[in-house]
Amino acid sequence: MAQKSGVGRRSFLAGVATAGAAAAASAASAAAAETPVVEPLKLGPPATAIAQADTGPVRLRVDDALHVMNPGSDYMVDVVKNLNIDYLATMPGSTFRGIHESFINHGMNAKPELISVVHEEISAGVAHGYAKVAGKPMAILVHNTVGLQHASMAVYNAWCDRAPMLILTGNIMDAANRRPGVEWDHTALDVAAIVRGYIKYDDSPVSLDSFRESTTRAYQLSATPPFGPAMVVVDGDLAELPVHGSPTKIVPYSAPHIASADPQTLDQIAKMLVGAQNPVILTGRTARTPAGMGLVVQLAELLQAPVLDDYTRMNFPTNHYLNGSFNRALLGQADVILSLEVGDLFGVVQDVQDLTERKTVRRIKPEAKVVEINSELVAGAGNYQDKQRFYPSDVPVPADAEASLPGLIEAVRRNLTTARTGQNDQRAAKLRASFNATRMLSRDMAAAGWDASPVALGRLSMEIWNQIKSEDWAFAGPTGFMSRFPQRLWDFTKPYQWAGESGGGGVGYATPALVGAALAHKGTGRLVVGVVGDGELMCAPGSLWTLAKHRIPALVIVHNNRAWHQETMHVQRMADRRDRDPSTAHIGTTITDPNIDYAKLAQSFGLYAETPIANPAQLGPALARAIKMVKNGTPALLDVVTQPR
Amino acid sequence: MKHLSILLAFTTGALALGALAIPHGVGAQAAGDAARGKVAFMKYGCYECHGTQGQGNLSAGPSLTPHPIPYANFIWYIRAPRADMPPYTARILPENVAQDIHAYLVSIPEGPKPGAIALLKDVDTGPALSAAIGHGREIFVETCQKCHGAAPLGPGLGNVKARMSLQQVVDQIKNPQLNETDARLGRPVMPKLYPALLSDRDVSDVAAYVQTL
Repeated sequence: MAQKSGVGRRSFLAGVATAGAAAAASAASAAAAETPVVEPLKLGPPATAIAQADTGPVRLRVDDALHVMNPGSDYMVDVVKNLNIDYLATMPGSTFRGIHESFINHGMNAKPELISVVHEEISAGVAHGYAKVAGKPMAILVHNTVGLQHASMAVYNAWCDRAPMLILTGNIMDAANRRPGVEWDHTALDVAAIVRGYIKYDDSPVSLDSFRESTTRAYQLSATPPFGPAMVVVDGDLAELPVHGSPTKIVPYSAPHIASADPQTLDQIAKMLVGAQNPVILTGRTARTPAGMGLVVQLAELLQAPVLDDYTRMNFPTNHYLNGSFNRALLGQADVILSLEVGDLFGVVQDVQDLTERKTVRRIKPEAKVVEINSELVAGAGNYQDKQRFYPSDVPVPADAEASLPGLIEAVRRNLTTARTGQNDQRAAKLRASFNATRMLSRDMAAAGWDASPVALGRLSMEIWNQIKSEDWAFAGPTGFMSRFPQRLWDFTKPYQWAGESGGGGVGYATPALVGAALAHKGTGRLVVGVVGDGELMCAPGSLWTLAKHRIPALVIVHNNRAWHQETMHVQRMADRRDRDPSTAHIGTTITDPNIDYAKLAQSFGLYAETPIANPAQLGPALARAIKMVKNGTPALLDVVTQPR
Repeated sequence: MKHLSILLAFTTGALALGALAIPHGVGAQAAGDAARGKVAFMKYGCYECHGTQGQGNLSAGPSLTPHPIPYANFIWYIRAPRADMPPYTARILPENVAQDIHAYLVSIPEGPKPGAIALLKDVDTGPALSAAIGHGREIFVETCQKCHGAAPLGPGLGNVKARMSLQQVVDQIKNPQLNETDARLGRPVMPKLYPALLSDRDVSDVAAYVQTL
């Protein structure tokens, strides 16, 4: 592409620095007087912009030392737009100022639309939650070094949870072009080293052609199972200086086809399942598209096999009689176990209890056969131990489970005998009774402490359910610290109604991920509700501002037990084991004195919120008021003072 | 079924016989102070896992109320627990404090039944159970679930019929037997609730219910 000016950003800045501000202003005025009047840019829609970039040189409207009319970052934005990314979460940073400006003026701030956040950890958390609902990555744009360091914990959570995202970060690779001082502080020789242990791919391209290739590859790898974050470094000079030469035409992006297991292997697995007396299906990150849940249901019903879900994804309806997630005894009865993308298979079939003597306890029969279909089996592990302990399954199949399910279902149909089908009725009756008994016990558990203050989690769950069950709803918060009451007593029946957990257990996931999930639901008319812990909220309270800023309707309910309660119990356990005073376990583990008023916090961010609720009788009406606000488009928060668990 | 708390009130004096003479099961209640026990329940962090009302939860600790287990079993358990519960020796939780805590648990009134709670009564739990199984289930929830429920302290009872006949379950309830883990205590952890608390019909029905799990 044509670019006559040889004056780049760096030399321009140096000139300004040397001559002083007044002189620069004068020079700028003079330059303006000598050159044609700058016409306002009239950019077409994104497709037109891409077409212009692809089909010919960019026409210069201004030809002077003070302007860069065809910056490299415009081309970079065209590359990103080619990936059909809807949103880009960002907190501003000077190392990526060039591409930031291109996203909003060249890219018209659409596909991707910038989502403003007040901390880079929120950027990555939003992208994490979004991906699990939208089923595709969004992008984040973070400052070099300091910004990426902020984002790193949330990137790690997404990595552990096998959630995709495209990370873009700025850098200034040519040391001669860096301004003294902070620009050096915000530069790294190998910035990706900060997160390399928990991303799938990174590159630091030094040409626009290389940027196009690396960004497309990063996106493709991120969105190929096992999903995960991938990163591309945006060089500041490459972004801000004019385009040199003619970068290769951008060709439409082709999504990868996801590999399934081969037909022979699926037939072998089908024979094992059909021949089993008590087959059990384990699900983890199994359903990665809206079709996934229906496929698991088909397979379970064909076999009349209970499904034990670890609730990392929405895999199986909670009100289906084959949902055996809360009846561990079913696992102990199994003779063939089919594990579908379970992240911690060892932890399901065996256990190491938190006792002084770390004994491994086997939960399945010695003779039980374990079949594992898991895309994880093709991925290596590095420094971090998120792959969990190895379990030597009898039939390990390195393939994507959801892609394999249609073939497996067909193979099971082929192998089903009349006699085997005849056993299904008996099995169904037994499993229906088992499901009903488990639900009754869950209901009893919810009744315990019903009128307690602070509010019991069973009461909180059922008060929420009472308000949302007649709506088209989605739940966007973790439930692990709520005794899983929602999954035990609500009817989750649609693929979008559950967005999983943090993955890596990094505190601070819940609130930004709720924002991301709500962003993915925005415009669908669904009522989005989530429960976040108080410790969780305080790691990223600024997430609430993004809800208000972008008019994302959602109800945030704070499970306010005024502690990092898990840690309180850990410290207490240590004291007990050492025969020392356990009554001190609250020191350093509680969030009291003073108590935090989360309603006031939320109000300051622009949300609707009410005073903290500790009386369970007040909960229902407060929920109704908050939901009314959400349905009118205003995000809301309720601070509920709760029992510890 | 007779309520445990009522029965315990009649048998408090049995403690004077000393620990060695305490029969497992009923008759081992201590003269604790419920008000002091409530303070201790919070101070010693019992509520952290079991909730302020002893209601329990799925992830951290089982329910302790209503109808807490007899004091003798309670104190045995906290001194030498199974599963994830940490041990509380007499040095960090003196006997008199444990008595107070137990008294507090006994004092906590029984809350409404699920069927009497508007937000729970419509939860779909399938067809109604037969009278005998339903009665057995009530007993199980009130008496057995604390140890054999979702966070099991006792053995899990899922598919128990694969390893125990109905009569064997009845026998175990009527005369709890030692098992390997209990042996370190020299007596069964499982309380003997028959015939003081459970009638023949109660035992028969709860055994029948357990066979459905």
